[in-house]
Formats: sequence, structure tokens, C-alpha cells
Amino acid sequence: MNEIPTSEMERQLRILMNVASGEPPRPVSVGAVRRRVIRRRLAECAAAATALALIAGVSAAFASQPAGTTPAASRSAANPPRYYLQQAAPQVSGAVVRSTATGRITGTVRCPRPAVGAVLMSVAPASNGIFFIVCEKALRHHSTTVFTDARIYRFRLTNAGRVSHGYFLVRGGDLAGLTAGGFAVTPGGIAVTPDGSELAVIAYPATASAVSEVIMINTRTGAHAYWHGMARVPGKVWYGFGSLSLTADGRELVFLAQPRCIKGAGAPACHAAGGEEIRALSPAGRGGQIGSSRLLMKQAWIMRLDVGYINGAVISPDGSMIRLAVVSGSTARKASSSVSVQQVPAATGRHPSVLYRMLTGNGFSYRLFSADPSGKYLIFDAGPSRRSVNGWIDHGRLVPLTPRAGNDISFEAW
Amino acid sequence: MNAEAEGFARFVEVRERSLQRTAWLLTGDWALAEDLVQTALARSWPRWERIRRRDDPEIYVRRVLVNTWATWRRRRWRGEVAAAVLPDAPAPGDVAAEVAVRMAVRTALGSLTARQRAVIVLRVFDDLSEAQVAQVLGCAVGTVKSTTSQALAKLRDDQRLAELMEYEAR
Repeated sequence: MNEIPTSEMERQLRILMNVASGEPPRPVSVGAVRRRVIRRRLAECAAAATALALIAGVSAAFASQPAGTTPAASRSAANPPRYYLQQAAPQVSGAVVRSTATGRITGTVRCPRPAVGAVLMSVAPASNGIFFIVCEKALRHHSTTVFTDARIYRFRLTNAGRVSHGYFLVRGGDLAGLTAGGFAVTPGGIAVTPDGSELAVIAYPATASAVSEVIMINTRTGAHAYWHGMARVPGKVWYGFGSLSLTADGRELVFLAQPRCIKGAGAPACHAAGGEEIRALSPAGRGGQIGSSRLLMKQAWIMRLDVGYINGAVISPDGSMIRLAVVSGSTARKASSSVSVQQVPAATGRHPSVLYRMLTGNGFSYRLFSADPSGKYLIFDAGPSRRSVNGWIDHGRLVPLTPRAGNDISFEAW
Repeated sequence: MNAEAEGFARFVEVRERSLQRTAWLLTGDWALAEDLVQTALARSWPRWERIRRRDDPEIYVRRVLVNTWATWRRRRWRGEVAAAVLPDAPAPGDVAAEVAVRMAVRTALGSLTARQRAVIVLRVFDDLSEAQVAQVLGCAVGTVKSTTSQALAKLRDDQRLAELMEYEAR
């Protein structure tokens, strides 16, 4: 074989290849090629359309995503936060984490201390899936329950909706030995800036004669500042307060105030007209007297006093808007009750716009109202009498959350 | 039908057999060969107006064919292949000799590397010049020469092919 010259080998090989390849079993037609070209172009068009749709979707999601958020806290105009915390009766020592989309429980939240008798009192959400919780110990004292050992913890949710790496005691969050005017206090409602640096917590006194306070905690340094409530003086207007919220920069502490005229024998008449008020303390971290707060709006500016109440209020992170949970029901016009969420500009306190309204017939119920750290997504649990509906507000609709019946829910936050 | 489409149809009509046989020598399977030719022609058709202006459109089509085959070779499953019908269908008449040649050629070509196989098929079977093979494969003429030499050396060592060549020489 080695003796065969290359040219001769090529010739013989060509013959063998010709024999081997023989005749194709069937011809390739132009029609078949055309059909293949058409299929190929259709596939390319479909792929291009899919890619464009994906790019458009991703762009829209990124355009509406606040800077610095992680997937756990990511949200677009159409997508609320992925998870929410919920505490429902009879549960008191903890809460569950639920998926907003499916309602499935993805994790549980428990007070790390105390081991026995712990009560999770309230929760406030910050950005990046971080939450702050107030934990206390409940003790039965004669016929009443006394809360002690109050501590504020911080934790973070993973992308899967579980608590990541446990709970951390907030710097300055150990309020176990806290007193006000010599009396033990019970921390209650809590608010936090989206970055988690400033935290406000209401401290209720153990005795009715003492005054409530708002404690401002700088979670970076642990420093406290106190906003002292007003003493109840007969003949003077006194403000009860709740529903705390902070602006993103931590400068404005906004609360819902309920002015009341304190009566007393021989006390002069006082005037507390105008209904609930939304007031602001600024700068929030300084501390001082709650009586020095600035009026942002009065109930009387947006509705008649005899037909409703403002039950909750949240300031938007930029401080421009106040969102209000309003319930109304006229005794003169039965079956005309309603629950609604309205917003008013913080600058004027007037000209409300309705974000959501539900006609509730005769009577109403109200459970809770809360906003996510971006201020865009509002949870509202209210409805007809004893038939509260749990959901979040999406362009004038109440999208149900799980469970849909909201009567047993103590708090929810996302 | 416009002139461009007519030109393409004419090319397919005239050259499809040759292309299929080249494809068979590359793939060793008629179904794959047909698929390969259709794919190469489908890829060439959208650019036919540009291809037509070239001196030899066939070189371009063969280039597409070889490149497509090389891509398939890298990606495709080369193990067991499911078939709807039995591949060993009985053939009419005594075709033992033809089958023996086919098997020997397929085995011998299968022992070559992809580049060697392409060079041998284009250079020997399609009778392209070294320059044309270089054009099809996108390599230097020197590479074609050396690859041809290496491939032929390997084929010389194939015992069954050697026997058939001796038989052809007689």
C-alpha cells in the first residue's frame, strides 16, 4: 500500500467514495428549503419578541425599584413586598411570615427572650427585609397583666422568607429597667426610619396618673431622647397619641393625636373641637414636650366630625403626604357606613384624595393600617361590622391577603 | 418567481445530489446528510443575491455545509439514536460489495479528525483545489496541504481500505 503514489491513492479513494456515497435516497427540494427558512424566521421572530418582552419587563422592574434594595425587599410598581409579618390571635409570643403572592407561611418569628411568657408587642419594617420587634414578658398581677423586660430586637428576612442569622438586640433597645417619672413603662407602638437608624417607641406608663412618652432611639449609638407627654390637668386639653411614623431622614416624627378636654370638679371649661389631629415633632431625635408639636391637619378639615374618625395615620418617607385610615358611619343615614384610606398633602392638610373606599352598610370594623418602608404599599384591615377584610391597596382595589378574614389579626407589616 | 429565486431553485436542482453525497461522506448517515444539506441551503438562501455575485456560489454553500456539520459535530448527541423505522432495511438485489465499500469508507473516514475528514472529502471527492478547500474551511493553503498529507497517511494504514484499493487497482 505504501508503494501507491499519492495521486493514485487519491484517484482510488475518489472511486471508492463515489461507490460508497451512491445515490441519495431522495432529492432535497427547494420547497423543503423554503419551509425550513420560514420556520427559522418564525423562530427568530418569536425569540426576538420574547427577548423584547423580557427586557421591557426587567427594565420596568428596575425603573421602579428603590436604590439599595435587595431581592428580599425588591418591589416594582406592580409588585408589593414578597413577604409580610402577621400576628393573629391566639398567637402572642411570635408571628408568622407569609408570602404576599400565595399566603403560604414561609417562616416564623419568635421573641428570643424571655424564654417563658414572651409577648411580641409590635413590629416595624425597615428596608432590605429588616424588621424591628418589641418583645416583653407578660406577668399576671392580681386581675391585671403587667408587662416587663421590654427589649427591641432586629432581624432580617432571607429571600426565602425566613429569619436570617437570628435576632439582634438593638443598641439602646434594652428597655427592661425603663421608668418614666419613677413609674415602670410598657413600650407599645413602634416606628423606624427605612434605614433603621432612628427608632421611635411609645412608652405607656403603668399607672393612669403618669404620662406617656415617646422614646427616640438612635440604633447606631444607642442614645435615647424623650418626648414627654402632657399631664392630665383638669380644664386643659390633653393629647392622647399613637400611630407613630417617621420620615426617611428621621427628622419628622408624625403621630395621630386625640385631643381631649380633661374634666374636673370646678375646672374651667375647655375647648377640644376639631376631632383627631395629625401632628409632627421636629427634629424627632432632639426630644422635648409633645405639646410643642406642630399641627399638620385636623379631622374637621377633611370631614364632618359627627360622622367618622381617623383611626390611623402614616407619613410618606419624603414627608409630603399623610395617609389616613378613616372610618365613617352616620347615625342619621343608616347603611351608609364606610371605611377608607385617604391621603392629604402634609403641607396643607386639606383636599384629601381617596386611595380606597369600601361601603360597609350598617356599621364598620377596623383592625389595622400600615405601610411598607417605601410608603407605596398599604395594608388595610377593615370592613363591615365584625367582618373585617384583610388586604393591601392596589390602585383602588383591596387585594386580599391571607387570611382574608381579618378579625383575628393583631398586626401586619411588610 | 423572480430571477433570484429562480437562480436558487436552479442551483438546488443541479447541485443537491452532489451536496448530499458530500454530506453523507461527512456524516455517514443519509437522514443527517439530507438535514445538513437543507440547513446549509436554508442558511444560504437569504443571502443568495450576494452569494450569486461571487464567482462560485457552490464554494460558499459548501463552506456553510462544512461549518454547520462542524457545529453539529460539537453539539449533537452522538450516542444511540432512536429511529422510527429499522435502519437496516433489506435492499433489492445483491449489494454485498457495495455495502462492503460503504462500510469500509465510512469506517476509514470515521477514523480521521473532523478537519482531516472535511479536507479529504472536499479535496478528493469534490475535487476542489487546495486553494478552494482553504477558502471553504477558512484556513491557509499550507494547512490544507499538511492536513491532506496527514489524513492520507492515516488512511493508508486502514487495512480494509487498503484491500479495496488493491482490488480497484487490479
